[in-house]
Amino acid sequence: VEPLASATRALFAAGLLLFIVGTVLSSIFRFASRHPDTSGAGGSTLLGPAIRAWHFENVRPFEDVLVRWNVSPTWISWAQMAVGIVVGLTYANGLIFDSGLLLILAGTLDVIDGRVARRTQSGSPRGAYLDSIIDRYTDTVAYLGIAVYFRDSWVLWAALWALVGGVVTSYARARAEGLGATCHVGLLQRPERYVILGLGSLFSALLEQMFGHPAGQPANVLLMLIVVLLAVLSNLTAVQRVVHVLRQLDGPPPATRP
Amino acid sequence: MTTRDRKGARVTGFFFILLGGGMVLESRAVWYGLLVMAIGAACFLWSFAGSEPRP
Repeated sequence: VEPLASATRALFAAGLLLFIVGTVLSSIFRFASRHPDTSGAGGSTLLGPAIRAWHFENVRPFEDVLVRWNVSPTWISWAQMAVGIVVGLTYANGLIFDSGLLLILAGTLDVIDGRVARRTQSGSPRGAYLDSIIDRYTDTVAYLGIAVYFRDSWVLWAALWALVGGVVTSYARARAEGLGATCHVGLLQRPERYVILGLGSLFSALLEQMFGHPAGQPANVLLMLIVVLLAVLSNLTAVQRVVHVLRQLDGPPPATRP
Repeated sequence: MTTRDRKGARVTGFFFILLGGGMVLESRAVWYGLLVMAIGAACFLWSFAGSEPRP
């Protein structure tokens, strides 16, 4: 089947954009009117408690089904990995919109496995370890797909730097905890990376279909800007964590701390 | 009596509408994309039929 003509695609993209914005905003407003106090949902600098509570509310029906069917959290982690691999392949093949959507699904599965483990009290060190490894794969494969997509442009280097920043950010925390230090700081942690890259990909693909891109630049300008932003912020987060841990390790050894 | 709000069906429908939309926009599988969108739309619309908010 031939692809749609560009004018039809632009109209279709505009309709999809309206549908997404309308549905999500109406869902958020309805949720906010029913739940004025969401302070118990936790949160971070970029993803506040209200957004997290709204997300939890939307994934709760799936959690309920998984708990009822007694699905192991480990299987949910494996599903996350499978989706992560598909994300890498779709990015590499230029399906930016579906990549963003599937990346958000992978991030959601990452949230669901922990919540199901807590609800069924089936959490274990084995599951936690496997979950961390799968998170790294999902993260890395997505950036690898983006790097392949931008292989003919300078954005390739930004994608690789974003990959490095993401890996070092995670490793800085894992190694610190191995040495008895704590490392819960970080401007751009994994959920934020998933949300920024996922939503950025969705909107980038729609804007590309509606308005195209400047001559001499690769397609998907918004995605390009987001990759550059992630490259900068991920590496800043890695440095922030390293400095935080070094300050702790400069003090007395863990055994002598109060 | 337990009430159901069919939120799962609504979120699933929303997801499939977007997944199909992405296929229509960026791939050659336009008809498959439209089929996925139609399944998603059916799910999304069904979720509003007779749904009651949870207490």
